[in-house]
Amino acid sequence: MLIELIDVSYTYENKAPHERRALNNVSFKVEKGEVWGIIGHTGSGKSTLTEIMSGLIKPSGGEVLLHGEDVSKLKNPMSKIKGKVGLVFQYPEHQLFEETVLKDICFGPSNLGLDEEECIKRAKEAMELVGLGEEYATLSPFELSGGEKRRVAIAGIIAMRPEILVLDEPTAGLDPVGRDMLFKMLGDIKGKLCESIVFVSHSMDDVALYADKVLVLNEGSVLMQGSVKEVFERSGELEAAGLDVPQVTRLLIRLNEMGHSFDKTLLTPEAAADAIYERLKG
Amino acid sequence: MLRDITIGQYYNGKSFVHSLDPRCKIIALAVMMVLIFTAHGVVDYAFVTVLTCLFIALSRVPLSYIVKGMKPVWLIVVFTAIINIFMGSGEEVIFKAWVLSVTKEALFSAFGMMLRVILLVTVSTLLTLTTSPMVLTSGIERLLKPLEKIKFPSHEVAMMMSIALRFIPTLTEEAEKIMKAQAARGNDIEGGGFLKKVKGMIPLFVPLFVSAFRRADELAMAMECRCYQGGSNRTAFKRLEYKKCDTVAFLFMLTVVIITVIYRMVGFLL
Amino acid sequence: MLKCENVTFCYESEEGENRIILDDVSLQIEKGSFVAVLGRNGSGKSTLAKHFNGVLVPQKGRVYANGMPTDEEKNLFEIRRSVGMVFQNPDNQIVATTVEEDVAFGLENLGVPYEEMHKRVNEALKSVGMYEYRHKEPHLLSGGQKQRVAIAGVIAMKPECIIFDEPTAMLDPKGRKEVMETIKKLNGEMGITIVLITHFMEEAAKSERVIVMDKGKIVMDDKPGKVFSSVEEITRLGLDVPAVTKLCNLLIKKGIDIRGEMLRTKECAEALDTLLREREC
Repeated sequence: MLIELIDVSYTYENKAPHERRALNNVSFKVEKGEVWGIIGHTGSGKSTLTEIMSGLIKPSGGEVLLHGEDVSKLKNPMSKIKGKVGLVFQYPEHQLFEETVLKDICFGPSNLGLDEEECIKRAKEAMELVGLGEEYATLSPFELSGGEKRRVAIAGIIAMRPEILVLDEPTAGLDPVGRDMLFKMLGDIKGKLCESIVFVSHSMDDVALYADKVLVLNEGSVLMQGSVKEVFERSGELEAAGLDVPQVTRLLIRLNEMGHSFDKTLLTPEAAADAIYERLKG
Repeated sequence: MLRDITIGQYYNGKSFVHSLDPRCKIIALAVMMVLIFTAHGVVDYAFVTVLTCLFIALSRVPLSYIVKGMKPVWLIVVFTAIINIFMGSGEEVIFKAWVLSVTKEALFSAFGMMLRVILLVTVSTLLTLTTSPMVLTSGIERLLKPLEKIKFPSHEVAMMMSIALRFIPTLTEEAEKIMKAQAARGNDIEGGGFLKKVKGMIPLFVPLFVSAFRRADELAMAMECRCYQGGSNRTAFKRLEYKKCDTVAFLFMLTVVIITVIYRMVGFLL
Repeated sequence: MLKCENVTFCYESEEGENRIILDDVSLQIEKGSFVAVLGRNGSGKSTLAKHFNGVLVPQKGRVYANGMPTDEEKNLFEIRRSVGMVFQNPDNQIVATTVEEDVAFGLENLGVPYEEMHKRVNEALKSVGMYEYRHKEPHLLSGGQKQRVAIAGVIAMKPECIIFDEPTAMLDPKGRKEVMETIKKLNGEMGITIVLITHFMEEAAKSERVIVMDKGKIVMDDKPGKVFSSVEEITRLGLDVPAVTKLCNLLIKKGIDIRGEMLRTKECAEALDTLLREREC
């Protein structure tokens, strides 16, 4: 087990009512090799959860175990978590500040106290993983396109070689191609560098396609968690909580209501088309 | 943390002070500032303090709200006080250690200084707390209007101010986000010496400026798209009307000024 | 209502090379219609949008808004009154510190008299469902609410047409729904011409006509059902099609006979239900 949250709670004070994000007794754990999708409405506590996981804020109650050790009671949890859990914020391209792409990516590793040579080595490795060629190293990050900037920002986190990469709505503002490329890139990163990935999303389709496990938050509490199949098995509850389910799932549910019997956990058009084809031909 | 700053924020209410004309309040603020600056001696201090308390009471803004707004200036207040205590000169020494000595006069002047800073901040905060920024700027615009004869861009200045006020919360939120994002990259502004702290600010300020410029760009375009062409031929959504309560307030401030002048003249002559 | 004639627009980069953003684009948008312009990031769709009210002026060709050419300075004021624009970032288009004062901003610029202005501000806020929030400060609102305030600010000016430049790109699903419902209402109930720039196919599917842009050119221009049924073409352009449309397309390729436009779950379920029942008989 990499990281485990036990009964984690958090309360915000003096925030605008619509963003008074709070968490109530959230427990979940990320094992090696897993890709988790966290889903929920705005204000359901998703972002707070990512910040607690990465040690930016301390929970008001509960424990955060990193490799079995409770880090939430430490005076400065960042010192333990630093570099182990990498957090990519929403619109991470807004945090770029250095003159060159390479320098910006080196910022994280150099804060870990590594020497320059090691920083550059890691930065170059990170650039390769996010698909930025050598020629980008000397460019100013401000001259790049939106999608490229986002990749630089992500490289800036993975250059710290975190064991878990946590991303808050990594696809916000990207078009379909950008989104697909990003998830492909996350797949590469997971294979080569990070043990596990946790991403927050608004899109059920993204979670259905790219995550192994899903955590559904509703008003600060865990509504359900488990494998993608297990969660979409209960799609009625998801819809009752006002969350979208993938269109394919909706179609299969509708067909089942009409008296057919399809496995409603088929999530992709391809899988569903095969199943329907079977039935039509079989 | 940054959220606690209440300077420039508006506290929605319907009190007497809220309903006053902004021009009236600006003038009153100016008068108060002069009074506070020139205050000297126990009677003066008591007088301006009582006045300020009266204004707070009339505005019905909770005291805690104003105290919270003081947070960022505490450091300045304490700093000036300390300097005044040790640097001031006087005869009655109460405390002496090494080259430092504290005299009664210095202590009193330090107290006066502290009081003045606090009162100044309070009355200015009170103006922004009780006047919506748009109304405030239209008040400033009207007051500056006569200066247009000497080509002073009064509308533009007012517009700039109101936009600045509009974006304070947005940029504050953004600053917090960037701080967190850089902290996630191991940026540490809490620990370390002065130099390290300054260095730690660069990753915050560069993105904040970049974003502010981008916002300014987009806002300018959005304003043009809504037919903004500067001050000419514009009408106003909020009308400034001189009401009865303004006359009351005006007369009150006039009385205050007259009393002060007479009191000080008498003190001077004696 | 809007007309582009052979519009070409280039950006000159710092190195002096010209990057063509719009390449000889001609199109006409009818009064009262609801048109979606769909395309990848960088396809030129936002640049096109900014031509409709004279924010940008083409290097070659001409754009007419309500019959007025946008390259004539004297027309700009009237063009911008009649062709409103709502932008992507809800924060960066709200000028004032309260909701109602922001809605009034455009009217102040137009020089609308006091009583009329208050009437129009209230009407506009009611029509987007933000009247209860009129005294609120914008930064206390959600993204969807901010966008609705921006829309109210535009409709208070009584435009004939509104251009939406990716109005939902920065919103959550709830905000997206709110904004899309408002847009549909503007078109349906108030008869305002709508041009919606987007890269979400779900949103484009709600329009009457979809214009697909790629590399500065118009590559498709048809009813949504027709556009999305060419699944391969749309995918090749880097865009999504509705999942059910894709599913039906896969079945068609396998030799199943499905006809009609398959955009919505309901239609698709009914078509498949019929086929499955036929099979069972």
